[in-house]
Amino acid sequence: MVSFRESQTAKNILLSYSAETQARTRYDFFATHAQEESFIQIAKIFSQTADQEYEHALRFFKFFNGGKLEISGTFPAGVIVDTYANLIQAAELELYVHDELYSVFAQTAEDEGFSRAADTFHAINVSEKCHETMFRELADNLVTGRVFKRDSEVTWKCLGCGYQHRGTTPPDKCPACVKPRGYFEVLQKNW
Amino acid sequence: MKATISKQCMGDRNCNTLCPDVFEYDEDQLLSVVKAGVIPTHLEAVVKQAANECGANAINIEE
Repeated sequence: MVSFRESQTAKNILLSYSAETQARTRYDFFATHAQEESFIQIAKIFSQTADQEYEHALRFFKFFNGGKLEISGTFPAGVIVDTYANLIQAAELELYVHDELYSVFAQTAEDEGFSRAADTFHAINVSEKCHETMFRELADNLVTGRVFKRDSEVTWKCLGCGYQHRGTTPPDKCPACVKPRGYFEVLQKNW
Repeated sequence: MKATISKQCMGDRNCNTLCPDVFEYDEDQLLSVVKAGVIPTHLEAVVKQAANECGANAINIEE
């Protein structure tokens, strides 16, 4: 069995660390932009996803005992356009990562005898596939006007102060904390 | 007291951080290993802590 340091898997893991680190930063840019466009729920989701990419990066980072490796990879340079375009960009990147990188890297790790690394790629891929689906659904909400309008009455919750409102749309301004409509999301109870 | 690390180890390195005198990370196996045969008495408490905190439940203690 090849030593880890000389394996393709080591390079793949360092490349993955780089991909996760970039994704985290990119999502923080997109969160800031969504906040500026007053899509507060989407801003928070970008921030949470950035935190999740951080955890993935840390997982890959911990495979090494320091040192240096030369790697080469292709990444989107990207532009910050608007939140819809950012969501689509994010979804495409997730697709690239789980489909063209981690699935292949997992197989290479298996072939080289690093099953722990393969297991990690498979597990992180579960998250990345969920991210892709989530970003596409959020983009779909934007393009179909569902972010602040639903066909039937729902409960909207202000992400600023917790005020709740029943209706097909949220109020233009939160009557409690005066935050604009962009602060409202459909209430979810998962407890 | 002795400690062993099973193949369940996921390489999270919490034990290495808590007690580097006893645990180290083996890069070729991608898991943590025990350096010391018998755990020095003054490190027993922190080794037990590492076993309790191990997310993969991979550290086994033998009194």
